[in-house]
Amino acid sequence: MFSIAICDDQRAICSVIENIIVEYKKSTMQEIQIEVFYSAEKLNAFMKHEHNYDLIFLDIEMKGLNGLELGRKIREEMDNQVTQIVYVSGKDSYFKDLFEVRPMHFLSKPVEPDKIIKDVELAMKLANRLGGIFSYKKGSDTHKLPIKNIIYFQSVNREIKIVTTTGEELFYGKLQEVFRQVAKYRFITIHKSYIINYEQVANFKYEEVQMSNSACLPISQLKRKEVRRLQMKYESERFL
Amino acid sequence: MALSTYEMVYLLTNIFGTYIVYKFMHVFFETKEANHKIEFLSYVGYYVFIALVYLTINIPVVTMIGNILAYFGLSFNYKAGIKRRLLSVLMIYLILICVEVSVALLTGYFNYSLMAVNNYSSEYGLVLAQTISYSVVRILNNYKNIKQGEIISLANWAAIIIIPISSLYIILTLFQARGLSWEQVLVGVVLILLVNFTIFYLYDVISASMVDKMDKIMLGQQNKYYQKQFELMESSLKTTKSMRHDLRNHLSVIYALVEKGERDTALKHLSKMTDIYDDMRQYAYTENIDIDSILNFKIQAAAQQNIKIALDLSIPEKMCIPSFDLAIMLGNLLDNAIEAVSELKKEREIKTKINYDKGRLIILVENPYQGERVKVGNRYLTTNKEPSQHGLGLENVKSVLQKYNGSMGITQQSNIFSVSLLLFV
Repeated sequence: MFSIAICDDQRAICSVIENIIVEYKKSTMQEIQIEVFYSAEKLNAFMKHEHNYDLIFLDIEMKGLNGLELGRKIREEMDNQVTQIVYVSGKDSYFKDLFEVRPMHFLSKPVEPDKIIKDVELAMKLANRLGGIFSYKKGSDTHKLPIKNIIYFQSVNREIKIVTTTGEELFYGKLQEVFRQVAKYRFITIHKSYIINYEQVANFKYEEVQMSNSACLPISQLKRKEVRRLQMKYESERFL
Repeated sequence: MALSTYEMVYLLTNIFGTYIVYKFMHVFFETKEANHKIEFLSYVGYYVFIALVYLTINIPVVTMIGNILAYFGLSFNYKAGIKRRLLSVLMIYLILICVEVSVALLTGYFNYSLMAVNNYSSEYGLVLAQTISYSVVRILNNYKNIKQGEIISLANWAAIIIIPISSLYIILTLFQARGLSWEQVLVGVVLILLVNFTIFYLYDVISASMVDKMDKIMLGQQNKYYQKQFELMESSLKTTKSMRHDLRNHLSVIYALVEKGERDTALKHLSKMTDIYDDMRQYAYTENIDIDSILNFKIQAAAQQNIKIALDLSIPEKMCIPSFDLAIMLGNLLDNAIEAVSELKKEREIKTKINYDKGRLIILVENPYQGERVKVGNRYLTTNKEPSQHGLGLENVKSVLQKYNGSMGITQQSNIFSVSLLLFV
C-alpha cells in the first residue's frame, strides 16, 4: 500500500490534488491511500504518532506551522529521510533553506495533473526500489535489515560496519559480497572501504558525499568519474 | 652488457628526469581530463625509450630528435590544439637542454660534436642537472594562464615560437664553434635560457590579457541579457497592473453574467482572463534573476520563431555560480535546441528542466529534431550555416563544466535530442 498525505490550508487545492490522484488510482488500479490535512500542525501530530507516508504534497505558505518548518521537523526531529516531499507553492521562487529538506520536486499553483501523476509515479518507483531487505550472518544467526534504513557500509579490517538510521551493526564479511546483494537498490561503491545508499546522500560534491547522518565520506580519486556518471544516470531517469 | 657507474646513475636520475618532464607537461597543458593509467604508462614508455636510445646509440643529435618526438607523443595525453602543442613541446625541450648544457659546461665538458658518440661522464653533473630542472619547473608552475594559450592568434603564436626554435639552433651552433672559451659558451647558453624565460613570461601575460578580453566580450553579452530582462519585467508589470485595475470591471461583468444565467458567456470571459495569466506564465519568474534573465531572453527569441520553451524549474533564489557561467551553459544549449527545432514543421517545443538537488545543479534541455545529428570525433556538429561555429557551443559549455567538476550527457532517441548537465555548486 502506497500512502500519500496532502497538506494545504486551502481546501480547494487539497481536493484538486486528491481528485487527480483518485482518478489515477482508478485508471491504474494501484493501491494508494490518500489522507488530507488542512494544517501542518495536524499532519505533524499525526506523523509523530507513528503514521508514516511515502509521499507528502506539502504547501509552503500556511498559517501557523509552514511547509518549510514541517519539512525540517520531518527530516530532523523525526529523523525521517525516506518520506518523499513535494512542495506546492503559489510562488515560483524558493529559498535556499527549502533545499535542506531535500524535496523531490516543486510544483507551482495552479497544479497541473500531469505533474502530480508523474511525482506519484516517481515516488512509487523510489519506494519500491528501497523496499528490499538486506540479510547478513552474525555467528550462526541471520539478521535482516530494511534496505531503506541503511545509510552506508564500511569495511573495517575484516569486519563490515553497517550504519543505519537507527544505529550501527558489525559482522564478518567482504564488501564486494555486500555490493552484490545491494547493487540493484542503487548503492554505489565510492571507495574501497565504503558503499553508500544513493537515496541517503544529503549533499554531493565531486570528491566527497555527505550522508543523511552528516557523515562525510571520501570518493576515491579513481571512482570520481564513475560516481558522477551514475548520478547523471539516476538523475536523468528521474527526469523522464 | 655490463653497465658503468655513470650509466647506472644515468638510468636512476632519468627516473627523476621523467618525473620532471611530467611536471613540465602539467605546467603547459590542461591535465584534468587525462586518463591517469594511460598517462602513467606513456611516461614509463618514454623512460624506456630514452634509456634505450642512450644505451644503444647515444649520439646527441639522435637523442635530441628522439626527445622532441617523445615529448610530442607525451603531449597527446592532454587536450590542446596543434599550435600550443608544438610551442609547449619546444619550450620544454629548450629549457631542459639549456639546463643540461650549462651543467655539462660547468662540470668541464666542452666542445663536443653533435654527430659523434657522446662520452660525457660526470655523475654529479647528472644529479645537478635534474635538480636544477626540477627547481625551474617548480617556478614555472606559478604561471597559470599559459594553459589557456589556445586563444592566442596565429600571428602572435608564430612570433613566439620563432624564439625557441632559433634558440635551439644557436645553442647547437655555439657548441661547434671553434675559438670560444667554455665560459663564453656558458654565458651564451644562460642568456638564451633567460630570453626564453622572458618569452615564457610574455606568453603568460598575453594569454591572461586574451582571457580578459574574452571576459569583456562576454560581459557585454550578459548586459544585453539584463537589459532584455528589464524590459520584460517592465512590460509584465504593466500587464499585472492593468489586470488588477480591470479586475473589478471583469468581476462585475462576470457577476452580472452569472446572475443572468449566461453561463457560457461567463466562462468565455473567465478563460480570456486566464489566457492573459497563462501568457505571463510562460516566462520564468523564479526570482533567481540570473536564470530568469537568461531563460526569458531565450524564450522571447524562441517565441519570435513560434517556438515554445516549456519550463520546469526547482532552483533556489541564490546559487554559488556566476551568472556568466550560467549564461554560457543555458544560452548555448537553448540556442542549439532552438536552431534544431526551427527546421521542424510541428512539435516546435523545447523542454527545459533545471533542478538544484543536494549540492548539484542539473540542467536538461530536450528538443525534437529531424534527420541525423552529425558527430565528428566526440563533437556534435550543429546544422549551423557557419562551419567555423560547428560544435563550438558545446565546447564552451564543456569548459565551464570543468570548473565545477561537472559533466555532460547527450542522448538521442526516437527523434528527441537531449543534453543534460550535472555540476557541483
